[in-house]
Formats: sequence, structure tokens, C-alpha cells
Amino acid sequence: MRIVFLALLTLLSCQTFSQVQQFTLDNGLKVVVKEDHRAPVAVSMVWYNVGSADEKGGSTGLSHALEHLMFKGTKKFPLGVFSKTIAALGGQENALTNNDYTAYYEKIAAPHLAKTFELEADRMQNLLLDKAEFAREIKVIQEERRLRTDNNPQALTFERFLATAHLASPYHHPVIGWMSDLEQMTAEDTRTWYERYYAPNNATLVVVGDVNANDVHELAKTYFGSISQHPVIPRKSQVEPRNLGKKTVQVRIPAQVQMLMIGYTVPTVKTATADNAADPYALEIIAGILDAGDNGRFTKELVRQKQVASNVDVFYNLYARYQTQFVLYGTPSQSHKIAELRAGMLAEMKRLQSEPVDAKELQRIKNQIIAQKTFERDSIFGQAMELGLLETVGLGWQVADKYVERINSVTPEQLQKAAQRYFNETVITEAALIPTSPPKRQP
Amino acid sequence: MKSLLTFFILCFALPQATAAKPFVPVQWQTSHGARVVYYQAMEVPMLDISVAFAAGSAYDGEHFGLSALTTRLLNQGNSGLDGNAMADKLAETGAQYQSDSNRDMAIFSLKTLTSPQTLKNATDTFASIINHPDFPMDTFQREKNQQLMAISQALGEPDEVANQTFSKALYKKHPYAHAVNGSNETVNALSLNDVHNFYKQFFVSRNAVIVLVGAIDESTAHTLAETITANLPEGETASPIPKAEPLTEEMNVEVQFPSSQTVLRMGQLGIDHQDPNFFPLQVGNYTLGGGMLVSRLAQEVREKRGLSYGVYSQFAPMPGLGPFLISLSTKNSQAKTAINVTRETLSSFIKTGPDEHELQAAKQYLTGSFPLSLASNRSIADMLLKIAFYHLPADYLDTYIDRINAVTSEQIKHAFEQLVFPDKLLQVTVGKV
Repeated sequence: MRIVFLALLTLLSCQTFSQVQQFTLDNGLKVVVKEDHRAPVAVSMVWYNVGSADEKGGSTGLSHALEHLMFKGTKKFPLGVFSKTIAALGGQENALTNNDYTAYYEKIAAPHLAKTFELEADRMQNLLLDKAEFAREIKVIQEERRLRTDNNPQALTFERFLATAHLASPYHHPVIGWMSDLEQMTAEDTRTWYERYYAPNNATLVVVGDVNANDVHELAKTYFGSISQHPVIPRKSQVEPRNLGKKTVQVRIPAQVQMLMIGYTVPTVKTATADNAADPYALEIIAGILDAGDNGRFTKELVRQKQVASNVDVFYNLYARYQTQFVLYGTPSQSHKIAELRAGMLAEMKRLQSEPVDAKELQRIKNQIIAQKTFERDSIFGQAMELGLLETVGLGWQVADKYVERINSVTPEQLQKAAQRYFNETVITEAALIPTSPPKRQP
Repeated sequence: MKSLLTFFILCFALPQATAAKPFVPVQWQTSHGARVVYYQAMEVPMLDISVAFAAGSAYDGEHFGLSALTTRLLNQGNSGLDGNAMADKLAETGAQYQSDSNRDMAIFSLKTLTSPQTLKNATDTFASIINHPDFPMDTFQREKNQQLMAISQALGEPDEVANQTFSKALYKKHPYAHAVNGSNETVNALSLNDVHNFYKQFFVSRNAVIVLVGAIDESTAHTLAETITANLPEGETASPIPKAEPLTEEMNVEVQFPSSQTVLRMGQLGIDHQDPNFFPLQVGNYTLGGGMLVSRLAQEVREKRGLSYGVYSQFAPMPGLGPFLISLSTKNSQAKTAINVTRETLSSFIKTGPDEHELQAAKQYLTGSFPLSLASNRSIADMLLKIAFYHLPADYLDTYIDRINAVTSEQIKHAFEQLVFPDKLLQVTVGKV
């Protein structure tokens, strides 16, 4: 009873809090506002419906490169003025690029919202994209790639994993782009990208914080309302060819520890059909069963019990635009080999197929997932991220409000069916990080 | 579902950097002498609890890595239940437990919902973690192996190698010199008895700070603070960490590493939280290398020359004197250029200090962003812990904006001249130099 009550409480309190309001300007810009009056601050985000998944071979990294150049000035606010203006208001700005989107944000004292709108509206249409600035910034981006990927054995392995798992799909290449594409990219390439995708009718403005929704709507009209829309080429649906057998890739580089990644091809809320609409939520729960922190099966069985692993984690993004990978990744413990870790991980996946999950264990995982939803309300940034993501991939922010209900309705039978349907060992993708030489003794 | 997220999802344009309604935290001591800070936030039905002990790696003595191992072991067997059973008990309530140790403190935190039964179950389990660790032998061996693994992993990351090399060179025999996790040799030598002794000596009420932020009333907060530390004897506050001695001359350390970039750490000894120059240094550092994209270092190294994705400087105040540190990484072939630009930028800043525009901009950012640092329960809890643990003045938050605004250009120049000596810098490079 306690658990039912807890779930109800969450639903109720979500409703009193989750007063999301949505508007659409005449030029097609979507505006999503959620009031949260706990502190006199707000986060403002502009989401563009373009990401690395839209890039073609030879042009990888374009969305992310453009994201960097968005900080390089317009005629009205030349180089450096954007950052200085936000900083002078005590605001914090940044941007992020993913496979499915490019998003810009400012966290700021709520009364300064108008200034962020003015700046964002300006760079939505008047970006300079100066050649000399491009030449400097592309070097910074190459350094970023070296820092985050090339010098990080785990990240490099993950990059190769994705490229192996995704044969034809847009998730094949890395968000930051291959180095040779970064070396050949031109300012003109980024201009083409900017003109093609940066339009009010291809964007969503999200504001969460100490604001009044109608005021935000008016403010949005004032600053973004006059930007003209232009046609955005619709995406062609891309379907990944079925895997015909296991795919493996090895990464042999200087590193200190081994790593194993195993991926299964799975649907998302976006790609699921009427037949398997509950499956992404079942997969979300399975991710929790395996890896809900300290009490997940991986930690209990592989780290604590058999001690074949130093850590094993799961990654699954149920809101991805395209079909995606359910990824297990772990490091064997010191006295064990990758083969033993693999056997342990696969045995846990088999167990999900052969035994229904115990009702008590399932309820525990649901409690954790539902509690996490309440904890997320502590962060206005986290809330804005969720709304913007759901709007941008075309699911709609309302999906966030149904999440708890969907999670709660998943049964042990559904979990077992989903495990049988997707965790087919003969068509997995596997990546192994195999250290060549220890790079360095103790400093 | 943890670390992979960081390299899967987010590709930031800028490196991630690291204030309102009337803000009235309440403070008291438990019956055993633990210090408590409580702040009520009723909007979301949740509670954040942090318990910190002055028991970081600086208290390892000769047993480098002991604080980290004790911290790891705390929830792995309590009141007769094993680690799995403890994890299940917490999971039933949906609560989240975390622990961490750094040089100064060992921190244990709980995030829980506040409906009465859930709150009780979660906090009882948390109390059992703090008060009744069993430290079983098999678990001890397993967690030790985990720590050895973490040590190995760090040696594969040029950033970590650079940080560890920098601390070792800067702090020499001071307790801040060794890595929090210790080394292979020292961790292998740790015994279960060492863990028991460490717990007994440092996990005591007078050595603890408890922070509670969330949707509970004050009397509940009082009860909880007592429960969480019920079994901890009064004990004694840990003796203060001795002040480190500055380097007397310049020092360069080059570590060869098979990476495409060279990681640079440059700096020297800095300050504690009570340093009279605390505010001038914070304001000045914003102009030098604290402000993302807008600082002098960011302008010279990244914006004008494209040499690095990120470049920062910071004064990390610590009781035994934290470091003043500049960090960046750049491809091997341009490491020399980046080092020269960084040194010139630093020297010229020390000579002139910020100009009036820069000073103004620094104050505007530091005061304007103050509400952001108190915008969530989590950030409020972190701030309150910092204030209590490091004994910042009671009016720290109330006077913060005024104290920032009062800083003058002369004070900054004077503070940097007194503290930062460009001819006595420690420079560490890790890469193919």
C-alpha cells in the first residue's frame, strides 16, 4: 500500500508542479515554459532540431562545429560581446550538441531573461561566420577531440563501438566528428548548415524558472517574432539493416585497464510501434534491474559475488530519435579476464530471458525510478533538458508526464518478453579495449 | 548508467565551469557535539543530507589511501546485514546514497523522499551506515582490489597523472602530497585493523558536520541529526592540517606519456579560507583565468590562438593551504607555445592587475551569479557544508556581495604580488614533450 501511495503522491505533486505551457509563434517557433518559483533564477534554452545524425560522410562534426561558431559574433553583437554580456549579468552560458539536437542555454537571474532572448534571437539569424574566426575555432575543436576522445581510452573504445554497431544508421559517426573531417571543414560548410537548419520553425525555446508563462510568451514574440521562417528539408527515415551475426571490434592502444562493451539493437519511445509501445519502458526498467546503483544485479552478482568485474554499467536512452543500442560496459577485476566478464554479463541477460523478475525486486526498481523523477525537480536545468529533448525529437513534452505511469504499468511478463525479443546473443556488437603497454609507472 | 553518459551525450561548446529569497539556515549541535546546519525547503518532497568528517586523505598518516578505503567500506556491511542487503533496503525507499573522500573530508550523503514512512526507513538505513559499519573481511579484500583498480585506471589518464605529479612535487612531505586513493604499494599494505582504527579515531561526533536541506520541519531535523550520529562517541575534533611550505625555487617536471596532447599544470602554493586576501584573489582570478571565454588566459590561449579547448586558473582554498593552479592541454607540438603564452599572460597580470573594465566585469559576474549558487537544494546543501566545515564566518552569505564589491584594483595587485611569484612556479607537463 505504501508503494501505491508513494506513486500517487508523485503523480499528484508532479501535476501541481508541472504546469507546462506551450505556445507557437506565427513563424513556427515553439515556446515551452515551466514555472518554478523556488529561486529567483531561470534557465533559457534554444533547441535546434539538427544534430550529428543529420550529417553525411565527409562532413561529420558539422553540427558541433557550428555550435562553437555561434559564440563568434554577429554584426550587432560582435566577437566576444555575447559571452561578456551574459557574464556581466551574472549568467552562465554554454551549449551542447548530440546526435539528435543542438541546444544553447543561459542560466541567469530571472529579470534578465529579455537580454538572453535578444542575444539568442540575433544569433539565430545574423551569425557572421567569419573565415579567420573559423580557422582559429576549428583548432580549438580539434583540441577538444584530442582531449575528450583521443586521449581517453574508454571514449575511444565507445566511438569504435558505435561505428561498428551502426552500419547505415546516422548514429554511426561521432558527434564531434572524425579528425580528417575536422581538418577539411570550411567556414562555408558551416554557413550552409546554419542556413539550412537555423530557423524559428526548426527550433524550440524552453524556459524553466521564476517566470510568468504569459510574460515569456510576450517576450518571445517581441524578440523572436519577426524572424522569418524558411523551409526545412524533411528528414528521410533511415532504417538500419538487420544484423546478420555478431560484430566485434578491438581497440589496442596504450591504456591501463581493459574494458568490454556489449550492445543490443533496441527501439526507443520514438521508434516503437503499437506492437511494442511498452518495450522502451520495459528496457528502462531492465537497465535499472541490472544497474540501479548499488543494488543492481551487475553490482550484486558480478562485482560483489563473483568478483569478475570492477564495475559494470548500462546505458540506454529511451528518447533517442532512431533505433539505438542498449549498451553494457564493464571493466574486469584485476584477477579476471575479459572472457570471464563477458560470460558473467551474458549470464545475467539470459537470466532475464529465462526467469520472470521477482515482484519485490521489480517494485524496488520502480520505487527508485519514480523517486529519481522527484529528485530531478530539484534542478531547473534538468527539467528544461527533458522538455527540450522531448519536443525536439518530436515526442512532445507531454511524454514526460506519462513517464511514471508507463513505468508503473510494466509487468514481469513484459520484462521477460522484452528480454527475449531484444537480447539475442548471436547478433550483438562487442567492443574490447585491450591495453598494449602500460604507459607509465607510478608518478 | 553513470560515467558513459558524460562522453555519450554532451559535447559542450565551452568547458564546463564550476546565488534570493531570505536565506536563513539554522545551526545547533547534537547532544554528542556534532555540528548541524539545517535549511527548510518545502517545495519538493525530498531531503538532502550530508555528513562530513574531517577525515580526508590528509589524515591518512603513513597509510596512504586509508581514508578512501574506509569511506568505500562504510556501507558494505552494517548491523549484521551484508552490502547487498543494505543496498536493497535503501533501494526499497528509492533513496540514493553517495560517499566520497577528498584531501580534507570524508563525505556521506543521502537523498530521500519525505513521506513519513519512507523518510524513516531511508534515514534509519543511513544511520546504520554511519554508526554501525561491520567492515567484514571478505568485503575488505574486495574493496581494496577495487581501489587498486582505480589507481591503475588513473595512471592511464594524462590529466590524473598530471594532477598527482603536481601535488607530489608541490607538497613533498606534506599530507596533501599523496593521491587520495594512495598508491599500489600503500594500499596493498593496508590492514583491516587500520580501517577500524581510522573509523574509531575520526568518525566521532565532534569531528562531524551534518547538513540537512529539504522538506522537513525543524524538530524532525533535530531528531534526524541525533539518529544519524547516535552511536558516534563525542571524541575529539581532528587536529588541524599543518600549513604547507612554499617552494623556494622554480621547478619543472616532465613526464613522458603516449598521448596526442600535452597536459600542463602550473602553479604554486595558495591560500586557506581565512586568508585576508581571499576576496581580492577570487575577484582577480576571475579576470586572470576564472571567467569562461572572457578571462585573459582564455582570450590569449584559446580565443586568439586556438591552442586549447579549455584553460583555467584557480585558487582552491584548503586548510593546509590549497594550490594556485593553471591548467590546460594542447597538442604536443604546440606545448611550448602554450606554456610561453600562459607565462606571459600571468606575469603581465601580476604587474598590472585588472583594469577598471575588467574589475567591473569580474564584480558583475561574481555578484550577479550569486543567486545561481543557491538555486537548488543540492547547491544550497553544498554551500552550507562548505561554510560550516571550513569555519567561514556566520555572515559569509549575507556579506558576500558587499565584500566582492569592496575589492579594489590595488588590493588585487597587492595580493597577487604577495602570493604569486612567476619565477618560482612549479610546472608539470605530461605528454610527448
